[in-house]
Amino acid sequence: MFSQSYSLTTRLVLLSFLSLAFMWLDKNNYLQDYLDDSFSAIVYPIIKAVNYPYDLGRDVSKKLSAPKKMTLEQLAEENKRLRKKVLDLELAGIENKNYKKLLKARHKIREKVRLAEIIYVGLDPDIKTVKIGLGRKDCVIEGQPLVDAHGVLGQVIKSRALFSTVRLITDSNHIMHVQFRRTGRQTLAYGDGKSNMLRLPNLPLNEQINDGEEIITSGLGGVYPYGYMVGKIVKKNPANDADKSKTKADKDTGKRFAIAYVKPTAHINQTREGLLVWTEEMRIKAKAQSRSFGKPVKKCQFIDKDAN
Amino acid sequence: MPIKEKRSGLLIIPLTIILSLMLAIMPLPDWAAYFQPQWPLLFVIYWCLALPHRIGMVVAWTVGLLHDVMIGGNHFLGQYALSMALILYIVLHIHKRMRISPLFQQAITIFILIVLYKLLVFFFESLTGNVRRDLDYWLLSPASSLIMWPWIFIFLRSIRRRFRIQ
Repeated sequence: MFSQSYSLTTRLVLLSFLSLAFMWLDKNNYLQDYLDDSFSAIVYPIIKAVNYPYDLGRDVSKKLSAPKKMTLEQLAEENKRLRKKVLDLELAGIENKNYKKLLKARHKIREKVRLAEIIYVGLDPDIKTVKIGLGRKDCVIEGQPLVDAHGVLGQVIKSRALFSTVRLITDSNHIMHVQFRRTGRQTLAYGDGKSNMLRLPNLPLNEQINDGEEIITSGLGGVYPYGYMVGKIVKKNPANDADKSKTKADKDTGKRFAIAYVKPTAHINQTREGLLVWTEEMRIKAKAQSRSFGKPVKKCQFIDKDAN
Repeated sequence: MPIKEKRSGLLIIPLTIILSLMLAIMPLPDWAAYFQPQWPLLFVIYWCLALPHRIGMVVAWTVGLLHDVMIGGNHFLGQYALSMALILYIVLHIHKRMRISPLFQQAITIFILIVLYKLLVFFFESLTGNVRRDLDYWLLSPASSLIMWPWIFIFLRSIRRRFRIQ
């Protein structure tokens, strides 16, 4: 790149300018359409290769353990039970829709979901992120929520061509709007970083909060649709760090607020798959994004179908 | 310098660097994550000490950029690239002294360089938001890098001799 004639310092200055230019372009999202795709094409195989032994181990253990645990009859029975449940839910859904129509409320039953494989879990204990194997080629846009069967996992903060980065709800830079299922009280839930919990730092002191109470998304934060399970209240936080911050916060605010901790119900450190959710607004955005590729992206067609 | 010599190791050096990048993103439990040595930087520093006329800031910058894309997402692209280039700037200035010093002294220099590297990375991280870091972050990774350095040095030197990379 540079010939010998350039001195070390000249090279350093040039490289610094180049890096700062990169940072600036990245900050303003100019990089996505040009360099980003080629970068992620180089990096994606490396990430997959590192995770290959883990995936293999998981598949093997699945194959070894699955047939022993359940017989065919048991599976059939479970199938029946689940079908019944689905039927009940469908009925409840229809009922609910009617009620909502009566209330003229906006309903969001047109969410579209897709299974996303978690390909890489961030190493940094202070920054809780994971990467999923779906990217902008699969119509992923920034700000999309990721959930699993038990609750909310996080939201997409960066979507590259072949993979995206998801910030988990326990990340210390993550704040979400939630509400109590029982009382409907709304509040903010802060990620607590290392302790793998969420913090509700500004609850009124006279509020009655029970252990194990359910916290759901309020749908008012703009990212997460209404009604997804977030976690359950645990009053005492086992991690030492959090205890310190608790006492400090108590002093700072003169004990005008109660603090509660929420243990996420989503299997944050165990799951290998999540469901990526497209709300109606997100589908419109994703469609606009897919147009920027020049030709229509085939993988995005499932979004079109249901949107119309 | 003859062209033939210059081309040796065109395959081996990138392969070792890809290996270092793979080591850097190996999944680890939370308690072990701070102990992760800075593999890509250590590998690049070795190649710089061995072949200072070929491996320098530009290579370090490129490796850093790949590292950026791999763990990127919550920081701006170019953070690791610039930090690694800056460290290599120092290494290029002191490589003659480093080469003749015994492995243990080299490892101490590496410790200081890694702390400096973490400081630079922390600075760029802080541009995107507030990240809380404690003493573990500052000390454990440089310490493990210090411990790993002689082994990395011996491992890469044997590779360099085996394939006669000059």
